[in-house]
Amino acid sequence: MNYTSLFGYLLGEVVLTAAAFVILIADVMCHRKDDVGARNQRMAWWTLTGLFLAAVVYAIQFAQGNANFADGTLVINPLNLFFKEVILVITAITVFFSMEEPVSKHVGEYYAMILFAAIGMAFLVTSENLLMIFVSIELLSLSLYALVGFQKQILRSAEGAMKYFAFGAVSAAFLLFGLSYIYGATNSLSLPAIAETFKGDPLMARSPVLLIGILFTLVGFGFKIAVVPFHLWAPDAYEGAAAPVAGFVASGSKVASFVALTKFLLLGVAPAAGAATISFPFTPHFTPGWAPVIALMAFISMVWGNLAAITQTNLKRLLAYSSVAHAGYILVALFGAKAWGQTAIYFYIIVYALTNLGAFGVVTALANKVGGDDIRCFAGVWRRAPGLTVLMMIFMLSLAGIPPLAGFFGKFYLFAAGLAADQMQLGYLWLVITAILMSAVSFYYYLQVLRVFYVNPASRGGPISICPCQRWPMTVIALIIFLIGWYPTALLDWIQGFLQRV
Amino acid sequence: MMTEPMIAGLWTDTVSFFGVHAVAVVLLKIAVVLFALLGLVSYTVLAERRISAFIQDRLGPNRVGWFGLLQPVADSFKFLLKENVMPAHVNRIYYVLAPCIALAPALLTFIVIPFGNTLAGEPMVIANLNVGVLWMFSIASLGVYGIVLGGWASNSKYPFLGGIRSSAQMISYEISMGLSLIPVFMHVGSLNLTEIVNAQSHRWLFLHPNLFLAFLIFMISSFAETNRLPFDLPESEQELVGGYHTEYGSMKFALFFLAEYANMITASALMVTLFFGGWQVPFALPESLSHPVTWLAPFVFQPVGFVYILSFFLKMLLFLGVFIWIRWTLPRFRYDQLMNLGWKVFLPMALANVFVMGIWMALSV
Amino acid sequence: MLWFVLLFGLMTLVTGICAISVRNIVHCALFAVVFFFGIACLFFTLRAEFLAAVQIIVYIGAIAILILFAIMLTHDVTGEAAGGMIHVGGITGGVVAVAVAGSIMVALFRESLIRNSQSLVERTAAAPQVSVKTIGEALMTPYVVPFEVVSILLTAALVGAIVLALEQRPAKKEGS
Repeated sequence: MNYTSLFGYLLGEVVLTAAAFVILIADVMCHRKDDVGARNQRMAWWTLTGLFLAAVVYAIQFAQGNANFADGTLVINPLNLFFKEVILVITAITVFFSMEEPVSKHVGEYYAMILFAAIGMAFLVTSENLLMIFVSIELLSLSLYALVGFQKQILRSAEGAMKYFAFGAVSAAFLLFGLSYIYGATNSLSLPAIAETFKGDPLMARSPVLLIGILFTLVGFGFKIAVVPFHLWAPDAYEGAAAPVAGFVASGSKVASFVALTKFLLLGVAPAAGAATISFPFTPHFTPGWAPVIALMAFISMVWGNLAAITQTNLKRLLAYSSVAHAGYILVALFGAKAWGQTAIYFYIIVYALTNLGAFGVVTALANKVGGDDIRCFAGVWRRAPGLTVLMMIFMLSLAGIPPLAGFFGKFYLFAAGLAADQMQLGYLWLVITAILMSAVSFYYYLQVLRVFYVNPASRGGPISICPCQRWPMTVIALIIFLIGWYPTALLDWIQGFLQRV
Repeated sequence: MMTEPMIAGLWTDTVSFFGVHAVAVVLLKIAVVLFALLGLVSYTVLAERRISAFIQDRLGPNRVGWFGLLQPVADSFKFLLKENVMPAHVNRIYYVLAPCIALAPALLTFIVIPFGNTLAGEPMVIANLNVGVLWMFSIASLGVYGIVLGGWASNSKYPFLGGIRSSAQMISYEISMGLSLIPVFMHVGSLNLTEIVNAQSHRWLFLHPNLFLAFLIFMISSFAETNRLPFDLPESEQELVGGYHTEYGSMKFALFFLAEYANMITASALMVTLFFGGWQVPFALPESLSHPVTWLAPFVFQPVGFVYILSFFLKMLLFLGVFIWIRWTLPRFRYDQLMNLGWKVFLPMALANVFVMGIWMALSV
Repeated sequence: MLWFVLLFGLMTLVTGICAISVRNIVHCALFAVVFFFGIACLFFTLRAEFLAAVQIIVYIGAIAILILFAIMLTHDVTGEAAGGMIHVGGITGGVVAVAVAGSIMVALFRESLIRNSQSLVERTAAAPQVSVKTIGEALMTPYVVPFEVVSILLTAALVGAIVLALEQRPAKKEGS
């Protein structure tokens, strides 16, 4: 037990925590009298400084090699550090988006909560321990509940926060209950140790107690990644939250939760997968395990998420349902052979998070100036903000999965991984076909949004000026999406390289 | 029927868990301590009245018995014989339940306090729990339910205000009270009250500078926890008539009254145990006291056991005296002052004390 | 031991059901208190004294009393205006609850079946004698990271709760 080296490993999170406290204190002590807008900018720069310092720390840790502290509560390896950097980038972009206009007058608290959420995400991607996963999910969720409810003058914000919280509380109970069963069945908390128990005990993979524990755990994760039937909070929370916060919930929280879920399933309880395959000619094969549950959730999410998105009239709600559908696509890759599936998921989750963040950035930049975030408000925005609508087109097409953009390759890898599950029989072909069909359905509503932006007759009003703090991050995101689309192997090789060095 | 094997099963379980001998001894100890405690409570009431009279330069009750010493007996008969009035507007169940809930925790907390060393080889504590102090806190925190329920069930505004005040006050001070004790645990390394007393055989804990601060915070907080002046806002007769027990009469009122004094006794006993050496005596006792007195066979008593119990008892009386003395000398705090003191003074102070204690220990290793 | 577990388990179950089914929310809160107490008793029966004491201090001594505090300040506690348990949400909730409980029971039962009627309890090693000291050492050595994260979590919860609960005052006029 060496606290000094532990402190070294935790330095990034320590920096973030310190930044959060500095912001809380500085806002109260030094900037109390200032105007809210000025305070907002100053606090945002404080936050960005903290994020930058943490990013530097993580970059240094890259060079230092792997470490595993106490039962996987803290695992330092290139992959985890890479995801921590991704989370810092997402957080920084969220901060940039919030810079122009304060979300609420509690400016210091707002940025502190964003940092707390970022700390939760950073811990979530870095731990391979059930206890630590639970604690960091709670830290993340509690911060996000509060962030969703920050716009206190808006009733919808309180409604969204309340629904988010109520769902979150119940699913946290399921998660903890499930984890306790897994602990009871395997007598260990760390994921590699749990995987070890399968080797010693052949009956473990179909132990009902373990399976019921996994089932309950999946309820908790299902809430975090918003898959049907645990998605009900998502549309209301996205709609009620301020647009930057909604983007943060849809991207950062998703990345962290998916990384944790992937590790939990593929690193921890992979032998308990079971099967829900349908081979050719139509011979269903079913073994109890987590695979049937995931397959079912993926199937309903893809179908329901896409169909429900078609009927939405609010852009944020539409993005919420689209994120439900995307969560479904990602689950398909979990059946892939371990290395394949992991790579595909990690690739897609990064691309998806950046794209979604960009889309919410457009909503942030425009909503107040066009008078709302209903889709019809954006009619003919092309004439008023041409640059931004081009960016929106890139984001929407990437979400839909049109070839030259990153989203296409993301989906391609996901579905290919799903097919590679059991290569000879193509048992999960039914799921992959559903996914492809449903992505075709999704073209409809993504293009519908673009139609409103470009074709519909414009409402009155002159050109809209966009704050550089929003324009530049969005441009950078669009560029990244474009570049990954042209050269997907760059990111793919990176992720595979990190996976090999785990 | 289900109940008969269940009760039989519970009894067998209990006996197999503790053993017959242990069960019998524990029952005996409970009986003795309970009667001693209730007797002490009634005489504390008398002491309060006599001392307050002395402080205010009057006589106090001195007619019943020698110097008024039979006054508690008369009082108890008075309470028992009074008409049992239940106002029409109260919530009957909670109205009756509240005084019982108030008194029970006050008596229950005493079971973990070691009131003597050993007597006939038997440790003078009813339950030697490893988490003794936590048990004290957990049971003491139940006491507030009596007051809150009493205030609410009375369905009348002054008791209600008293109940609300009491719940806020007790929660606030419980925190600094608990935190103030952490340096004690750090010093002794145990939550077991017997071990804490044993650790004080050479040096009582309040002599340590950090622990003296802890003692001050603990003592002042315990005034708030027992609703005694200067923190008696739940009752404060000038503002709230009688506070939470305004609507109570006869024996039900007496139970509330007893609960307050039982709480005082427990708090005093705890302060003695934690900071003033418990049953220890500050000087060497003559060797002869340790020789067993054989004519009491088959129970082999050592007189020294009685000396320790007496020592504990006297120290406790001293603190009870302090409780009474302060009540009749200090005026009442305002409510916001009370909250400020709890949250903004004692809480940070107790936390800082933990920190300083940690540094002290790290340096002295 | 068995009989105590059964007794306290029954008490926990009954008061738990009462806590969510009675209409008067003061009764609900008090049933919840007894429910928490039942859980503490179960911990005591299992000789987890520390957990039992902490359960009482935290849940009964702090949380429940705050709930009661909040309830007593609300206007209509009798709940006569509220509907009964028999509505769509209530029935669905009941069905889900029964399904969850049933699946747990089936799982526990089948677990002993596939293990040649060796129950989970028999397979699990006896719980070690845990003292406050071992709990403290576990929290400060192997589990120090989760422990510290919990402290950040509580800070975040505190900040968030204060922001959400703070009264929205109209902005002060300049120069006043």
